[in-house]
Amino acid sequence: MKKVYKLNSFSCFVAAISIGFVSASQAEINYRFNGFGTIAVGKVLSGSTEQSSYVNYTCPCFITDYNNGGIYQSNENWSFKEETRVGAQLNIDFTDKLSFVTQVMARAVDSKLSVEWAYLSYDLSNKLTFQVGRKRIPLYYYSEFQDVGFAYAWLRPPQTLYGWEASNYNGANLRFSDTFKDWDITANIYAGSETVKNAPYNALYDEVPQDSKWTNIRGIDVEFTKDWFTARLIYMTSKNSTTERPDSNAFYSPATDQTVMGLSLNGDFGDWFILSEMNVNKREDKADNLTIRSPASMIGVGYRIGKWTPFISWSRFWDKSNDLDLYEPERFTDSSITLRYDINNSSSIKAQVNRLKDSSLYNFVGDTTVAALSYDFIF
Amino acid sequence: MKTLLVLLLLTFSISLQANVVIISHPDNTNQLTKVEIQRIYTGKSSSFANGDSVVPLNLSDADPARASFDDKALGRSSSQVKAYWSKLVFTGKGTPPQEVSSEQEMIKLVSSNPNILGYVSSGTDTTGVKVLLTLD
Repeated sequence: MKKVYKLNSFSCFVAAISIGFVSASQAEINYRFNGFGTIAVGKVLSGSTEQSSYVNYTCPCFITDYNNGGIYQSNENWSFKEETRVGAQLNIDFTDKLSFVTQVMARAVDSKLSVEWAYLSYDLSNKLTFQVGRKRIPLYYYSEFQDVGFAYAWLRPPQTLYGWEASNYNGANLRFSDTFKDWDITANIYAGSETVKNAPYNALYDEVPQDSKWTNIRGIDVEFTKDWFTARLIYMTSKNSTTERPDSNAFYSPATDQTVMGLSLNGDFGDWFILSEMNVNKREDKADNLTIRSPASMIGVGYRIGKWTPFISWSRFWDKSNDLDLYEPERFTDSSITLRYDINNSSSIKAQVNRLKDSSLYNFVGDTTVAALSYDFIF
Repeated sequence: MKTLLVLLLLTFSISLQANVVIISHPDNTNQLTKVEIQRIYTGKSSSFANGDSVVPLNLSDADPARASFDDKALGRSSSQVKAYWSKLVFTGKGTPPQEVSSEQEMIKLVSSNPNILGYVSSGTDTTGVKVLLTLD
């Protein structure tokens, strides 16, 4: 189902490219083809939980990817399917102002192709760009490139922050970038919606398959950069709903109002670098008078020594519910230590150990120590 | 003692990267600072001080002067520069400078177009282009 849906939306863009081709047939059209991938294995080394059966998973277990449903279970040996993936991207410049970008991912966890990006981009001026199509939601600092392992220090960004139903949207955005004195500023506003059939996120919480949708997505992200310093502010609202299976295929109504606010502060001093994020996700189910606030935060410190980059990080996700009967909070902290080695200019290997402490008020994944090894590459 | 000498020589040879000279077309009257070069080669700026558009060129990965440039101009290893660009490329936000296969080709292209900016290792014959800055 998921595949069919995505291919339908993709075919619209194929049509859009064809139109682009016709109108730009006189001009020189440039193509660029690039890609990236990660081959990773991981395993739950040890852990504890009060109840080893959670949904249909054997726990203690460790969720590697909420969005795509990757989970290391304690009864499994070293497993490659959760985090191994490859992406291919095609950029087409029709003119110096009009371009098309598409990126398709294949993941071992679901053995389907998914279109992560497929949009037309038009430069209204040197500072203003209008884009329409399918994109990643520019929510947290790593959201847009969380699949590109080569681009960051972790083996995977902490799932305390990067774990929601939807990570893409179909819609439009307007991006502004300028320089004021020594500050580079980029601001982006976007709007759209996303429906995920048989959402892998929901499958981590319920055995009954559910569709998940985010509608009325409206957001802004602003990034300030000067020398070693980067700050990024985000604000997004959406209306979220899931299907009411097994009783019905209809989406639950009224939808839950979601508001997300966040700040990331990064410092890069050449050898040393510090990464941090602080976010709050608020979900209000007005029909049931239920409000869930979920602050999440992360801090990481790394040091580059030639080809080596040791890196440690600590993160926390801490649900707060105003009605413990209706919603039992999920709470956990995740500490990790990573060692990255750059093999050459386009590939690296990483080893990472995570210690997850589960403090949820219900039987969730349990405490775990998890090890993973990855080979990340770009081409 | 011999081992120590070999180690010292190795250490020395690793740090002994060729200097790099930034080159432009002889008609280009713009001055460039190292910070401006960094901004141009990281995609943060696309014009010279006088407002003319700038097209930066890179040497290919295989060329030793590329590693020298990444180190001396951008203060990063080539791998770190690639990681930086992969974030921009795979979010559709930027395209790294185009690569040319040799220093001879770099000189040829820079000498043919006032908008092109390039670099070669110092000591290369720079006839036909203007040396804007030496990075050492």
